[in-house]
Amino acid sequence: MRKLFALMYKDILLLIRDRAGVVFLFVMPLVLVLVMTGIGDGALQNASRKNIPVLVLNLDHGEVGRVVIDNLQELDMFDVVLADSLESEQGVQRMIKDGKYLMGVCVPPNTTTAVQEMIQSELSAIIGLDDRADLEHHEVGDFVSPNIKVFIDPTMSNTFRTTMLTFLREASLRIELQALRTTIAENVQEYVSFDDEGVRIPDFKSIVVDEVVCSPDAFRAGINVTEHNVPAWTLFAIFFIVISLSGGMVKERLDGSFSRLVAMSCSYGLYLVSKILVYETVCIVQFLLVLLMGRTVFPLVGLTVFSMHGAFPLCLFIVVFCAIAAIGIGLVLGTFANTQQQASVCGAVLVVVLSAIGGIWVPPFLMPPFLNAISGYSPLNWGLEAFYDVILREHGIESIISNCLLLLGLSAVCTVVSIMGLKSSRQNK
Amino acid sequence: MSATVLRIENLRKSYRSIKREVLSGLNMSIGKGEIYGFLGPNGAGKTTTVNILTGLLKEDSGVVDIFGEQASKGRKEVMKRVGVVPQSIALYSELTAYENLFFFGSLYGMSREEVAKRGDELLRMFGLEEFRDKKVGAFSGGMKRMVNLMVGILHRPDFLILDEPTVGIDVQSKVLILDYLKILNKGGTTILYTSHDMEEAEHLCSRVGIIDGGKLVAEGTPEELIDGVVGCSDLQSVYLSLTGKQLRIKEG
Repeated sequence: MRKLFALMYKDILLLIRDRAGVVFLFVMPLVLVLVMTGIGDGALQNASRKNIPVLVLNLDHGEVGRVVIDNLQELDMFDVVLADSLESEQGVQRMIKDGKYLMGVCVPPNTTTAVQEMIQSELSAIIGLDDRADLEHHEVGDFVSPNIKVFIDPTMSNTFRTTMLTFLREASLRIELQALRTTIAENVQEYVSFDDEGVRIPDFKSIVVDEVVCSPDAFRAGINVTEHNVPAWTLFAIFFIVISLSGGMVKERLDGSFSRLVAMSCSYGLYLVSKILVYETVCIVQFLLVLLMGRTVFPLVGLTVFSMHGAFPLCLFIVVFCAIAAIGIGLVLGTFANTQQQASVCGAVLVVVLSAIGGIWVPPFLMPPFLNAISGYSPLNWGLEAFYDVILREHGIESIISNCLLLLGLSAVCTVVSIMGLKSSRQNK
Repeated sequence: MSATVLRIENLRKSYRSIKREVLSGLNMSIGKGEIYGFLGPNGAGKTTTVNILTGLLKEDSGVVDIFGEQASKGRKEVMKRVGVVPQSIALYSELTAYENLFFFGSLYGMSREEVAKRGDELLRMFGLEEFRDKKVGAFSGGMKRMVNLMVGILHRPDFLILDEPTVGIDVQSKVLILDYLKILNKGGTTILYTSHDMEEAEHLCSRVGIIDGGKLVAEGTPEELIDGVVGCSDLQSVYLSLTGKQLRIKEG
């Protein structure tokens, strides 16, 4: 034990004497979590704010134009600007091309009339209420569908573009349906004698879509930015210790101090156990600092307070296993890298790639299929999913144990490879 | 010869990277109380031999006994009686001189009090007591070499292995180190000393072995070696006559 304590004492001293390293290990995660959560929160707020100006030219002056404008105004996402001074869709197109607006909508003249005529004609043809002679002049194919045009600036995000197109298509369907119901009612009234109130077709909804959030907390509607970013970027910081750890190991090998340790009969296992214990402590401190910031600083800067919903012990449990995996990777890198530069570049690239495919930056379901398929092989993904399980799905230890075992297994493999690497350096050069 | 401290028989070692034998059947032994000068040109096999003795490398074949124990088997116990001073400054530059001594002393199994007493004694002896709590990274080359030596002798070893301990330092530091090695030897410590400095070896060592091509090419007291080669008046001329004047490129 004396040897182990001596090795740990040395490793702790080396860590705290390196001021840049201390900043890197403890301040960087705080900055990272704060900045990334702030950016993510800002983007989300913007997406739900009424801050995208949309130029709308209504040449219809009928029911369709009015409904489109009313519904757009009710939608929180867009700020409707009526283009009363313009006379044609070319004017709207020019304004978008000039970058004055990001989106423009043009409802063409007589849209309402065209819709009504088309429905009247189609309905008559189907149920045979019109004269045969009239029908010959009003074949369905004779009508030209009114064409609502949406002009989009190339810089416009796909989310807003898709939202606008979906909204307009849905509005069109509603308008057509309403017109159809009205036409049916009018035609039935004409041929069948009813009381003065006329025919009423009920506005029933036969299909109801309900949202059910699969969480014990029935009021929770989806993940918020804090709930993703705090665990995600804490994981990123935890795995970034591979740079410090591997760099330190390479330095010890190059300056001869590791050789001296071996000459003093210090076993490779003891040497690695010391590193594991010290860096495990570092990772736990990192997590606690981020947690403290999520609880105290976040509300001060207008961000959502980070809540683990009573799962602190489980979160700590996950951090311990993620740290073990990160340390394992660091040990392998520290064993096989030939220079400190090699260790830091390889370590940084490796962690960034693993975090990217692991869903730290973008959720795996948004990735291309091949990246989505390999996402489950990233240890950061195992850690992130475990965090989601305990924070969002409010599962118990049984649901995270498999991911924790994967992290432990990775660490065990890495540590064995590292010991073999150190031993093999005794055999050959 | 007195009791044998180190016995090497038919030691062989080759490196995969250079595809040739660096040690090709080395035989040598060191008796208790000797200062054995282990000399040879670059690539002759000195550092490889030292690395095998200290456990950094594993021999391909051969026998290495230290204090009668086969080094590869009972290394842990044997190495407690052995001190190693590597050629490189194997210290933690971010730690102070005392912290380095404390750390390595703890690995030797010394208590805090033992390290404090012995560490202060050594720092005083080498005139470094005022630098006790200064970081080693800020020391001069000579001061670093002294602390490097102190770490190797902190636990009062019976057998001290020194790999070029005076390389690249000023004359004052060199004299201080060599004088202390003589004191240690008088106190009963056996010393294996590798060096390129023939004058140093001639004055310090009781016996000298010259290695070239992975084998000992000559062995004896400095006087015996000088007398044994016609026309040589010092160890350097003996060395050159045995190993040649052509430049050697270090491999391995």
